[in-house]
This record gives sequence, structure tokens and C-alpha cells, in this order.
Amino acid sequence: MKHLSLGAAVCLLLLALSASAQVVPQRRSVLAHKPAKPPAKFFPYPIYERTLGNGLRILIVPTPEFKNMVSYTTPVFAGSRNETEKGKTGLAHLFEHIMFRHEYNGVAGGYQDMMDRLGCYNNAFTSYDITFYHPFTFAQNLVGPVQTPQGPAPGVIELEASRFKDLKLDQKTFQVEAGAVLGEYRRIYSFPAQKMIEQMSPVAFPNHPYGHTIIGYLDDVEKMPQAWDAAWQFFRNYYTPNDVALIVVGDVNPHHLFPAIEKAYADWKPVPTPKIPTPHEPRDEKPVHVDWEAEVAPRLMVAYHTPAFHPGTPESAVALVLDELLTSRSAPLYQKLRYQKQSVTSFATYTSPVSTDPHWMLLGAELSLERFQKDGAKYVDEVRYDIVNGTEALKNFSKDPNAARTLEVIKSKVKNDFLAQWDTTDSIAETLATFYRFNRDPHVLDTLLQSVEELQPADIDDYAAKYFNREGRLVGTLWHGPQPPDTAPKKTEVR
Amino acid sequence: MKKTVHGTQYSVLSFLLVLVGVTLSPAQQALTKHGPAAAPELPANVVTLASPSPLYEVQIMVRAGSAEDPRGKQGTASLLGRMMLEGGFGDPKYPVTKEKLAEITRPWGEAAYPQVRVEKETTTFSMTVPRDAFPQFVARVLKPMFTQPLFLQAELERIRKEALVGIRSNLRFEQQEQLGLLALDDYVLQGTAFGHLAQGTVEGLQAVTRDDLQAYYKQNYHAPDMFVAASITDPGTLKLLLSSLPTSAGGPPESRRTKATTPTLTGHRLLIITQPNAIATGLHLGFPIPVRRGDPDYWPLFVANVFLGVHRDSFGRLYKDIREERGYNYGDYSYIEYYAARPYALFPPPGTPRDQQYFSMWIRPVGHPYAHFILKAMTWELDNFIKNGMTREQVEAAKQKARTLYLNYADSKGRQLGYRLDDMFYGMKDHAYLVDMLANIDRLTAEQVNAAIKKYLQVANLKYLIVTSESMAQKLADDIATDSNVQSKTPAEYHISEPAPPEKQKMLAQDEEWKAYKLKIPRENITIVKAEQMFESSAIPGVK
Repeated sequence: MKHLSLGAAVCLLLLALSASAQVVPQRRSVLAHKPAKPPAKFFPYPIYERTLGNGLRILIVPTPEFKNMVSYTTPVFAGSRNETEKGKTGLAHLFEHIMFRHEYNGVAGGYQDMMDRLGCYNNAFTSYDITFYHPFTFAQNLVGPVQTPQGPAPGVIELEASRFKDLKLDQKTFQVEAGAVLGEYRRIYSFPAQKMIEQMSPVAFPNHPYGHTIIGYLDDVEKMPQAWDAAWQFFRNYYTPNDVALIVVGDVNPHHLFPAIEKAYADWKPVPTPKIPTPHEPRDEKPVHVDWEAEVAPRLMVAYHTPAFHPGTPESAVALVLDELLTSRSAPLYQKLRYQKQSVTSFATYTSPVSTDPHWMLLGAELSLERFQKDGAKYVDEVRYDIVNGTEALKNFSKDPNAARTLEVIKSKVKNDFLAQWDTTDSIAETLATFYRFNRDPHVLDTLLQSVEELQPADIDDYAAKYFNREGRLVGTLWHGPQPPDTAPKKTEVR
Repeated sequence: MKKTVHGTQYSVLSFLLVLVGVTLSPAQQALTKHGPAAAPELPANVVTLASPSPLYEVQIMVRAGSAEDPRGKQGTASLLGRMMLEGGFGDPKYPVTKEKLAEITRPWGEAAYPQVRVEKETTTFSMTVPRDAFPQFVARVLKPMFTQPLFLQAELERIRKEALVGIRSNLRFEQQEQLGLLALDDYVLQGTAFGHLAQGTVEGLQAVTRDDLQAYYKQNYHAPDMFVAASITDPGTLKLLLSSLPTSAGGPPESRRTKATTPTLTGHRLLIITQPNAIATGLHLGFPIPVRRGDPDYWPLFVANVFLGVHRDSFGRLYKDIREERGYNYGDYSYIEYYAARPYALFPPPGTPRDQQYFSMWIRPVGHPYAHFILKAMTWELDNFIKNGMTREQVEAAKQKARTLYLNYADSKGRQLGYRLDDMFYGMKDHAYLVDMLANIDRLTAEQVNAAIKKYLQVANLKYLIVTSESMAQKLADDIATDSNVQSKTPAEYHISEPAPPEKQKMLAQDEEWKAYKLKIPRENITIVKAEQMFESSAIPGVK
């Protein structure tokens, strides 16, 4: 797989959002099958859009060079951000699992059996702000009945509509699947970075659901088999046509697909989705330390509170290039830490800036165990000082005589990263879903890239001055052993 | 702007893509018999695929990897791979340092900074570059990188340090699943040139010198001996690309290339690796098999394996029985080929071919108390699979799932190019893996699949590997050796209420059968090592 610094962030954008929690006004079906706006300037494919009477929005993107392949995706604009009930974290992710156990036609496992019969690759993921279902199949499998070696099967459109409109499952199946999530938790938490994020999140966001990680707290995950009612409530709240879209990308003809989709989904009843409050988060966080059981290379994370994402705004355009300015191979801070001082063996951004509500930018560094054993927490402090100074120095970005030139190079890079990323039907659908949610604008990617194109060096200064300061900062550390009290990262200004 | 059609460039690609449509059309299936329409003037080690993208994708495979590491210098190939990119190249007075390389490639996108993957038998470079920047890319990056490497000492020290952290900290203590998977690879292939980590060993990495890198480079980085796959069909651009490969190096005569030597394996052996912080227990088993791509039995065995344990999919029987029905863990899989980039990759990354393959099973971490029980279950599953084979209906369902994999294997130009590199490695350039995949699956019969299961799978000679916590290991070893303390979930833990419905009664009866299954691993064949003892050298402490 390619390692894209900004591209990777963009990939993670799957961590996007449900910008408006309110009900989308119901609209009449648009009958004209034509691109919603004139041809896109940057996004290389036409987009056909239609909204059903129940509020379900459908985007079809024909990409004929992916011959006979199609991604039939359903972004649900709810994720772990929508888990507001204490003791019930992880439900969005649990539901992502549950959706595969739908009893199509009243048959246990019936949905997945039919998808298998069709020859459909079927997967999904959950992020803070979105849950993304992305079956991938041969184009002729969309509309049924389809003749298969195991007999006839309904098409993917009907199977997907069935599980979203009319999910059926038995409580025992639910409990077994909830057990599988515990296995996933165990797997994830052998990673130090995950453990740090789990412990830093509630400190940074004591009042918002971003205070828990996507998979949920261990206690809650262990109790998931008992969360049957809460899980259903989550489903009823968010799996509704006005909080979901269909994005179909592949070798397809929109004129043939729209009628089939409308037939399958038109009777899906919308319900209002609950609003998620955006509470004020405190800015007096204590440093977080994780005592890891084994002797590993120490980790340091420096986080800053960042604003919600709004495509097309200068602030959000800055957010898209921060990675490039701080943690890419060409970034001065990266080069200082990795190459000049060699004080860290890795330095990267762990978060996506594409967030529904105000969230954070998390910079993570892996330090040298050998030096740590020699110099102790003083060494960690030195790296923290460098990261904080390097990040907060962006408020003077425009004063660098090369700033304008650097920014032009970065703009070129961002565009090429987007292009390189659109190498599968799935990744095209994911990127579109990530940004489409904000304003339900099918041409959002053009808007986004235009805003990057228009960035000026002073925009970087403004963003950094506003967000990269002591008040918005949180520091986390991890090593084998407790945090020594005398050398603990202090909350004092480091300059 | 982006997706313009570039005249004749569609030849090979359109052919390849048309085959995706082969699914149900006999007329299209017939096409597969003719193989890819490679342009006649291309050298034998080059394949091109047309693409409408404004970016060119290029992949270059050196036919040498860690198996070529000099004795005691395990890690040479791996360090060299990174040093080619970051060790400086070009004019020694004005070298292209890693910082300069980042600066040159930055406007072209992250993917224009070359990536390298060093495996046991290959080293593969890949990059994606805007078409209009390609001549500049060749002149400023690719050509000096391949032909004038400088191997700057300071960079070697930096990269060596990072490589050591990669083993000492990341692999041993932070990634339980990856530790098990890579340790199994060493364990099964022990005693051969493939029996050490591709990234090297701690002792080996410490011993590698700049001269070692130069010698390895001279011997193995040799244009006629490299494979090239690119989404470039313009002859002039292609010529430019090929002109960037090193020609001055001697190159190894064919006879000197490391040959696969099949490791010998008798009886049942178990290696337990302990981590202080493992919160669950991961289980693996493996044994060498002689089948590889291009062999007549490859596709029958492929389909059989899809049925038993297709990677990261709910279709496989192991997954259905252990995860889906019983909820013991996150997933349960089996493999007939080495599968790189686990646990992360959903599909096998191409560009990682091997002459020596092995069959393996991977049970993702289960709760400590159930480790012994699930070790029995996985072995019973394999044994039962061999004894009973597959019904006609099961073969058909597995064939259908196998053809679905085609979609994922071929979903991007980068993957298609990678598979073409592998084709050249396996000597199947004219019977390309992806091009023939659907037709090869369609023509399989249940008899062929069942014959392959019987011929290649077995439970008499197995290497097991377990990764668990330090506090569990000793007792687990004793329990396994003495066949005692086999614990499954209780009906309550399975959420079965009394009276148990018939299908759950059947499941519980199956559990009893698993419990009674004999593993036959004598205590003297069980070795316990700490994670920090792994990958120190080619030897595993206590394992002969």
C-alpha cells in the first residue's frame, strides 16, 4: 500500500461526519437523470444525483475503466460521536457488525449467504462520525434476480435495502457478535498508540462523545451482549433515509439504476435524528501517562484542539495541509526530529482533520529506548519541547521568505495525492462520502480543492495563532514504568 | 482532463479489464485462453498495462531479498533497500540526500517518493508519478538512484538504529499478531536461507557494513535480472524508464541464485512465545507444501483453502465455527501461500512471491483460558477437512467466493501491475495469474479440489506457534503435553438458555468432540521463549 502523508489523512477521512443532525427536508424525487451541476473541474468523473421522497440521497458515479466492477456503498452519517449514553460506548461499531447478520427472508444468516452466492465482497468500517458499508461486486449483480451456481439470488440493491430498511436478527446472534467485538478490542489494544488515545480522549473531551474511542471502553465492550435494547435504539435513531446516502461508483449506467434503487428504498420511512450537543470542553487538561507493561520505545503525543471541518473554508483548507507542514518528510519539524537530532524514530499525525464537531490534531512520536534508559524523562521533555515549538511556530509561517513557494508546492502535492488515491471504486466512493455529508453537495471535492488552491501563507499563521497554543494543548506519554513526578511534562509555556 | 483515452494504450489493459466481465459469459471466458497481448518489442522482463490516469505507476522488482543476506549479516537486503532511497545518490559532491529526494518529489505527490518492500526472495520498488513530470523524475530520481547509490555511512547508522527499534520494540512487544505471524514464518522455514526475518536479525543488522551493501548491490541489482511493470505504453517513455536501471553490475549467474530448499518437519512441535502484556493468546500452525503458482494443483488448492479459511472473510469454515458461531475471537483463517502485510492487509499484497511456500492457519487471539481448547479445535478442523473433503455444493460455493476475490485482487492498476511482476517471477508471463484467474476457477471440478486436499494437506507433521502472556505459558505447555485442563465456554458464556435448541446442542456436542481430540505434542517438543529472545539471530533459542 502506498504511504501517503496527506493522502493517508484523506483516506482516514472516512472519519468524517454528519454535519447536520437535523432532519433533511423531504423532497420530491428529481426525475431528470443528468449531472446535478456542470462537469466537475477537478473530480474526474460525472456525478448523477437524485433524492427520494423520504430524503434518501443517491449519487451515481460511472467509472467505466473499472470494467464490470461496482462499489455499492451506504455511508451512515453516524459513528461513535453519536454514542451519548454513559456506559454504552461502542454501539456504532457494534451495529456495523450486526448489520451483516440480517435475517433476509427470515432465514438466519440469509443476507450474507445471498451476498456470498452473488459473489459480492462485503465489508464496512466505523469512525467517529460515519459508518461506511461498501459491498463491491460485478456490475451485473446489482439488479436481481441473478442466476448463480447455487440458484437464483436477489440483486445487491434489494439485499442492501432489506437490511437497512428492515433489519431482522435474533438476540442470541447479537450476543455472539458482541463477543466478537471483544476479540477486536483485544487485538487493537496491544498497540501503545491506541492505549494512549483511549486515555487521552476523555481528558480532552470530558463532555463530548469524542471522549471515548470508536471501539468503546473495555467495560462497555464486555457488557455489550447485554446492550440489545440500547443497540436497537441506536439503529432506530440513525439508520434512517435522511441520515444515510447511497454512493454507487463503478461501471454502471445511472439511467438503469435509479428506477431499481427507487423501487427498493422508496418505502423506507424517515425519522428525525437526535441532535448531538457540542459542549464547551475545558482547556486545563492534566498530562496523561500510560504505564506500559513491557519495555517498549517510549511514546509521546502532543494534541491540539481543532475546529469542526467545513469544506471550502480557509480554515478547513489549512487543516488539509497541516500534515504536510508538520509531519511529512519535507516538513522542518519532521526533519529536525527524525534527521537532524534523530531524537525520534517515527513522527506522524494520528488524526483526520475532517471532523463533524471540534476535535483534535494528534501528533505522535516514537522515541529511542536506548536514550530513554540513559536520560530518562528529560529526554522525553526535550522532544516535547521541539514538537510544541515546531507546531506553534506555524503562526509565523508567512514570515519565511520561501513561504509562498512552499505553499504552492504543497498545493500541487495535495492535488496529486487526491488523484493517486482514486485508484479503486471503493476509494472514490469513500472520499466522496467523507466530504459529501457536510452540505450534501455532490461537487464538494471541487469546492474543497479550490479552497486549497486559494490558500495564502497568512491563512496558516491565522490558524496556528488561533489553535496551536498552550490553552489548546494536551500531552500524553507512554513508557514502561510510572511517570516520574519531578520531570513530568509541565503545562508551562516552553518558550 | 484526467480520464482521456490515450489511443492505442488500451491494448493490454482493455484486454485485462474485459476479463473481469468474464464472470458469466462463455464467449468472454474463451478470451482467457489467448493470454495477454504483450507488445512484441518489449524485453522479456518488462510488462506494461495501459491506463487513462494522468499518473504513471511503476514497479520494479529485484530478484533478490533476505535469502541472499550474507551469513551473519541478516538484514543486508533490507538495509540496502532503504539505503537505495535514503542513503544518498548521484554526484557525491552534490548528493541527492533523503531531504533533497523529498523536496524533488514533493510537488508530484506522496506516491512519487519511491517505496521499497524487501521480502525473502525479492526487493520491489514502486512509485506513482504525474505523466508530465516523468522525464524529470527519471533524470533526477530514478536513474541516479539505481545507478549511482552513495551508501552514506551516517544514513546507514540512522537506518540501522531504526531497524533495531523495529525488532526490539515494535515487533516483540507491541504487535502481538504480527509477532506470531512473522515468527511462524521463521519457525516453519527454519534451517533454510528463508528462516530469518526479511528485515534482518538483531545480530545481523549490527554486523552489516557499507561494504556489505555495496557487494550485495553489485551482485543483485542488475537490469537484465530485474522485472519491470508499468502503466506506461508510450515507447519513448518506456525506453526512458528502462534506461534508468543499473547495467554495470555483474549480476549473479542463474546457478548462484538461492534455490528454495524445503525444510524437513517431523511430528508435532510447538513454540510458545511469551509477551509480558499479552491480554489474549494467538494460535498458529504451519507446514511446507510444494505447490506454488503455475502448478496444476494451485487452483484446486486455492479453492479448497477459500472454503476452509479465506483471509479476513466470514465465508471460511474456521471463521464460521470459531468466531461466528462461538464468538471466541475476531477471525480465523488459513493460507496456501505466504501472505505478507498481515494483520493489516485485507488482500495479499502482490510483489511478494516465493519459491518455497507453506500451508498455515491463523487463529486470532482468544481469551487465555480457551487457548488449549481452540488449539485442538483448529487441528480437528484441518483433520476433518482432509478426511471428509468438500461436497459438490461446497466446491461450487467456494468457487463463487474465489471469483469474488478476483475483484479485490484486480481492483487497482497498482495491484494489476504487482501481479504481473509476480507472473514473471513464477515464469508465467504468458499465463498471467489475474488474466486467467476466473477461467481457472470456473473449470475446476469437485474431484480435483478434493484430490488436492488429500494430496497436500496433512496433520501428521505440524509446527504450532502460540503467542501468550508470560504468566500463562508454563501451565499451557504442561496442559497441552498432558492433555489436561481443556476449557471451552460454558452454555451460559455462549448465551444458551435451557433447554438448548437443537443447533446449539449440536454445537455443544461438537465442543466435546474437540475437547477429546488428541494433539499429541510431547513436552520435549514444546519450547517456551520470551519475545525478547526472538529474532536475535537466525536461531530460535531451544529449537533445533
